[in-house]
Amino acid sequence: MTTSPFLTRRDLLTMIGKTAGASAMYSAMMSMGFAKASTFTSELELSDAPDGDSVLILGAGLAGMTAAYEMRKAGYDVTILEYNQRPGGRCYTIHSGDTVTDLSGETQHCEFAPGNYINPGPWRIPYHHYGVLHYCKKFGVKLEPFIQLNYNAYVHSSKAFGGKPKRVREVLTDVHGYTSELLAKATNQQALDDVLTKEDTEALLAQLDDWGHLTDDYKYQKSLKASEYRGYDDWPAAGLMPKPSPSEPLDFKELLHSGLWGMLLDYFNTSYQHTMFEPAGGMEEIARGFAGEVGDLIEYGRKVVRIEQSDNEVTVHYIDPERPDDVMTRKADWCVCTIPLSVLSQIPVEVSPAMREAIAAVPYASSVKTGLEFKRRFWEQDESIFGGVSYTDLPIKAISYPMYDYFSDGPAVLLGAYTIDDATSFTMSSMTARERVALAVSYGKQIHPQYEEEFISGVSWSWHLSPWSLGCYGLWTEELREAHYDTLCEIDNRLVLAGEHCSYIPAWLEGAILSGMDASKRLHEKATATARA
Amino acid sequence: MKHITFTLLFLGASALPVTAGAAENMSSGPNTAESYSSEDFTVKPEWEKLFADHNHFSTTSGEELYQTLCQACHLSDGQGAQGAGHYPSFVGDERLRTPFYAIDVILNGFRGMPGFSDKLSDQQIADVVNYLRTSFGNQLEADATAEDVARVRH
Repeated sequence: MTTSPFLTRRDLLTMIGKTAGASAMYSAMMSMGFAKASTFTSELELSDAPDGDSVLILGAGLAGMTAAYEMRKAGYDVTILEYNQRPGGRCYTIHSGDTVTDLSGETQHCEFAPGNYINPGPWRIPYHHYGVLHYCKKFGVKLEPFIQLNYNAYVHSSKAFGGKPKRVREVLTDVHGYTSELLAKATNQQALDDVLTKEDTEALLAQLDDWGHLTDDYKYQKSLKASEYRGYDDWPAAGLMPKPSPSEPLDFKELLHSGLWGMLLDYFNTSYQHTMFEPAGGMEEIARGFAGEVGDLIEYGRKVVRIEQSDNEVTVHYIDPERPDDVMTRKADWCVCTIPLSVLSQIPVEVSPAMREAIAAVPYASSVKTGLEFKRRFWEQDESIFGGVSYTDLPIKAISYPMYDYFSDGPAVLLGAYTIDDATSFTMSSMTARERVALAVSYGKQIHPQYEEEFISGVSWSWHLSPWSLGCYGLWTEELREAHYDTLCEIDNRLVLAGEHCSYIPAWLEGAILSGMDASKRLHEKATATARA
Repeated sequence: MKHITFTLLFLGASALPVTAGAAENMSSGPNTAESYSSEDFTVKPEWEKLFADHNHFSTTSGEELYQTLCQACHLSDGQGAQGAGHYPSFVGDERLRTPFYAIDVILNGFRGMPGFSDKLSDQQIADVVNYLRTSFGNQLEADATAEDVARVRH
């Protein structure tokens, strides 16, 4: 590795790639403008479908509905078969008044006040998920800002600072302050002279002074200067009210070992950078927007039990789960199958052995969310937290405050626990929803003592107990992608798969939408080529 | 083949997989404040143990491992579940006759089921396999060992 301070961009990328692996290099390339976040530029303009060609789409989630919209536009005769009694799949909202039953048979009645809801699946949309944003605009889905980073929300360690939550602004400012102080100290001790010129050193020290809010001798300590960022003990006021007084920084060593520094990362990852969005009224509004376009094509309560293909057609056998003895059959020229692999791997599908292997190769992740309704917005009224997400080392992992109807007096719902793909998530899943609600209150009150007094009701959803998906999302690894991804996405005779599992943006709506578009485009190319032959 | 055609077939029930979910009669109704006691809102000592490490399962009893991991899908009575797809039942499960099938699936996953090689130790896997072989009506030997698991782990 070169020690020259004058690295080229290529040097820098190589260095990052060698030391931090491909994903870090990809992130670095994104920030340097070499790679794009989403490949979406515009919706498809497919046309001239072969006369009368039909397409059967399996699954009315966002991948299926995107494919249906694009292929009908091109002139295909489209039908969608959907297992549930509603469109959207995992683009799902549990609303006030809903009744939900999971695979364990546990039924929950959502008692939230009218208008309140919880998004058990996708809940936030990055500004660079251009496909989602495009179709939302086109289909009239109203998007509102989603607050990921609220400087006044908390990061919390049960093992540090007496278990008291700390404001994000305090921790972030202290991290900047202490790291700047240490770097300034190393610089002043000539530790960096082999990489810095005298001019570099002066520029660095000047910026560390600003960035870290340091004293004249490059110390980070209690000061009005630092309090402008981390907050005051007495905030600036007027008249003969108390004068502004600075706040005390957190103890450096305790901060260093608290885990709070690492919790800040989720605020800055490109997946979560502002501006983010959420649909007014819940994530399912996006599904409803799509269904406004293609809802007339959807048949509900259809469980696929077998998929066959010949040189001329695709044959899908399915049942109505209420009448499992009657197996029905539908034939079409082409098929876009968006059934999650966790389910599809259990269905006989006539495809190549390599594709069958790919279908069976991808495990599905665990995730659990728990929504809690409270009598009042104590997080706003008592703690001045308006939207955003607090993170904690407790098993609930996160608390996300509602980002709509600020200042309203009635009951409000927050996300009281959100686990994903770790041992905690599996253990959470193995509890009943009723227990998970109690657990979210029990742990959450360590951060918000008002919980127990203000609690009204809760709803919890485990994705491994979701009857239509048997899991949250396709859990790819680099090895699995290398072995199976391309095969999984290929057209096999007259059938192509689509869904978040056929994307490099797993678990996100954008992955499902891009996959639905890509599958439609390639299938259309094959259909038109076949018709010409 | 130019239009979607529609036919109705009748097949005997034997041609279809299991139909009923395992715990279909369980129902909790609304999870409201009135339905809980204040004791319910207290962190339980067993939670402290179960959630001590977010990346590994901390219990060493086969039964507890089942109840805090496997049960998330295969349910408390081991009967599995049925939706758009199904989770297999362990009741009288012929595949448990050898411990190595279950060891392989737990380590490496199977279809939609993730593998747990990085979250469970060899001993924990042996313990939970022995629990499966001696529960849900299964009367097999609890003779799987950590060494057996180590042989399969790769």
